[in-house]
Amino acid sequence: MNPGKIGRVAWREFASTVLTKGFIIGALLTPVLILVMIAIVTALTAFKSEPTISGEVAIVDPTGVIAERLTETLSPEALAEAARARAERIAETLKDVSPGASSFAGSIGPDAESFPTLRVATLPADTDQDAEKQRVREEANVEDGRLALLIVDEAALMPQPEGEARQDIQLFVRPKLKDDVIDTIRNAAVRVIRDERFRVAGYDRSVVGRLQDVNTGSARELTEDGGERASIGDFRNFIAYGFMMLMLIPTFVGAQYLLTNAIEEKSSRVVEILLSAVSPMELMTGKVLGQMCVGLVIMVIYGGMSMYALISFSLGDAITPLALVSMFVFFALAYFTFASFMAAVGSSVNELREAQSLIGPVMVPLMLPYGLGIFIADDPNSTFATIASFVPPISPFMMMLRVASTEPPPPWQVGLAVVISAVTCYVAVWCAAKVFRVGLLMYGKPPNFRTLIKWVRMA
Amino acid sequence: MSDDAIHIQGLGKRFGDKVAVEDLDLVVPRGSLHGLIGPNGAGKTTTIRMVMSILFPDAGRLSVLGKKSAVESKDRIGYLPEERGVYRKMKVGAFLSHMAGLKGVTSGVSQKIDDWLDRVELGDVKKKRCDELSKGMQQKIQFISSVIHEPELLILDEPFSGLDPVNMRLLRDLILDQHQKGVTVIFSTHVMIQAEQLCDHIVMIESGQKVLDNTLQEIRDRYDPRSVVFEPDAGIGPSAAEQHEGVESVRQVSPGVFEAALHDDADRHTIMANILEQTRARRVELRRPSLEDVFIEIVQERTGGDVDSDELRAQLQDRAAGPQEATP
Repeated sequence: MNPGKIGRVAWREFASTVLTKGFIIGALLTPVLILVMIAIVTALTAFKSEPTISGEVAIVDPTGVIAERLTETLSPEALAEAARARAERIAETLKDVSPGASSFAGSIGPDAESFPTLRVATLPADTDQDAEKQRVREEANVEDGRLALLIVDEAALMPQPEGEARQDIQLFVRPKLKDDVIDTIRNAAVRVIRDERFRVAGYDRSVVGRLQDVNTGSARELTEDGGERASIGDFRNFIAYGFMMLMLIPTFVGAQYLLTNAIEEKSSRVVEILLSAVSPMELMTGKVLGQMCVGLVIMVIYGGMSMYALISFSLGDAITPLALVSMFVFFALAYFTFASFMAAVGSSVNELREAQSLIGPVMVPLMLPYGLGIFIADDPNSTFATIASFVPPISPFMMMLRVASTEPPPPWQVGLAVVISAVTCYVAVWCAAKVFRVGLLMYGKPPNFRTLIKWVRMA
Repeated sequence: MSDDAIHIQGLGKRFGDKVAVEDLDLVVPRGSLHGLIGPNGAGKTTTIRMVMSILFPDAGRLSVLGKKSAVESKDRIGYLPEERGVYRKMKVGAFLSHMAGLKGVTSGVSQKIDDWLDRVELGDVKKKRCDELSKGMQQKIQFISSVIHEPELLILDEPFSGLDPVNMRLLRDLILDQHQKGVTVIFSTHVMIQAEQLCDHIVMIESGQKVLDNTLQEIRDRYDPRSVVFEPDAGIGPSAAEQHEGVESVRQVSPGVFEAALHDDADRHTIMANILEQTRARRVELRRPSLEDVFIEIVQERTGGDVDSDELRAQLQDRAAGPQEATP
């Protein structure tokens, strides 16, 4: 085999796939577009929140205490303080798991939000409610006009009666008032009513709060090396599934391109001209390697983006070097197995339609990991997972999932999976090379499986 | 190892039950222009594919340019297969450059492509996509791809199929040009007249076996003219020749033109004189047997006359025959 010729065939295969509009739009521009979209949406959100909503919240309060407390709670200072406390709580929860995510959560605290400027107007208890509602309607488009009318039930400070529930407040708002403003008003009212109920019942609100607060911290994993770390639980399964998808998608895409390109070379009758310059084995090797590079490009783009995201959330340590190395090894083994089969099928038919009946046996094992992966990621050391990770040709995908999971399998199992996959790969490439060599020059009736087996024996 | 361009001994190839090539011996000396002729399905393409190491023989030995197989000398061989095409979406220049690269040409590729495109009168297509070219233009591009690396041996399988007469002449000149430069040329065709016009050596294959392997001159010397073509005045039919001694049969070859087949021992000149005497013939001539006639005669000899010669002739003249099905 001549490496120079294989390189040329591989380069043509790579260039004719990657340097096409379809690929650039599909594989390269899509992630870029997603990032651009996220940036635009973020920018738009920031832009949109620019004009602060301001106006009056009228309150009918027969209890006489809620309106006053609400005036304090809805003041801009109090709203900002509440937001800050909320952000701190989230950051505290995330701190154990991911310092990056925690600081991110901290940063989206009060500064990132804009608060409505709300003016509370207390109305007499016997006011004409219909007239006040009418004012909300009339001032719907008036700047700094009335935004909402809050009517508090006279029994609002009493505990809810057993049986039928009592409506403690009624909130009427102008059309199209933003949800977050409505939520701000309603949540403030609920908080105030709750605090007042505790007071009336004779409890100290702060004591009740502390009684309710049970601090658990996050679960810590005790690792085999004697250390411990924050558990990221199901998230790690998600990462393991991600690793498998990073192998599966390029395998799928590469195999698909090989099929269509081999069919194109055959149907355009260019193949025998190529065979005058390269041997069938050189041609197949070059094509398979070329598409492998396409797969690697896809893998690097999507894998790189995912890694960047994980690292920026300080979840980088979820990616172990073993998992990374395994990904490349298992990708190579899985890819060569499936790609050589697809190249063989592509060489034996005259058009894509004829290939459909032959590629079924390849497509099924390529679809299986999608479904099985969920169960295996969930319990990576179950008997089912262990067996599935030794079954060719899905062994590389299944073992990858286990390697990247919370409980990596023992090294001998990984080694065994590599051996099984390597043997499968060798057999697949050997058979495919024979079918490829015969199939390339066959025109006419499309072959069935029996014919392909005959070719393997014949060549 | 032989110094001939191609040396084949006892070559055989079967596809299942079908014998494609059987016990074929062939020597092609360097610098010669060999024609490989025979009807469709005779085994020409299979032989060529074995020479090119695209197929491997079941039996026999062969050497190509002094090597045991073409794999070792692929860069010194130019091959234009019968089943040929181009990468439709590739630009002409890129396609030729790719092919030249695969053939080991590393320097001056662009200049070579320009020169060749000019020679085949396609100087302005370098930047066009291959699928924008007509079929005839694409065939010229394919021819360039087979010679761009300046091969020592050029193998052309049915090079003229699908070409119009103008391009056929252009291609014939290009082939002769290569031959004059010292390149060994082998081309196969089922249209025997093409071989007759071009080759100095003919190899005839029928049902996988070689039935003739001679220079054109030897063939002409061996197969004497044994028919007389005559065109009698209107109203006079084949009877003008039928009654003469030595005439085996008379058939009409075109309206008003007849051909009298003679016995081996017939006196050609007397028969011609008699025809002239009895009719006011516009034309009377001795006809040299064409390669087609020679082929039919050989086949009939081999089969003991079981094959209908008209059917065989029709088969040979079936120029529009499509690609062979399911036979590599």
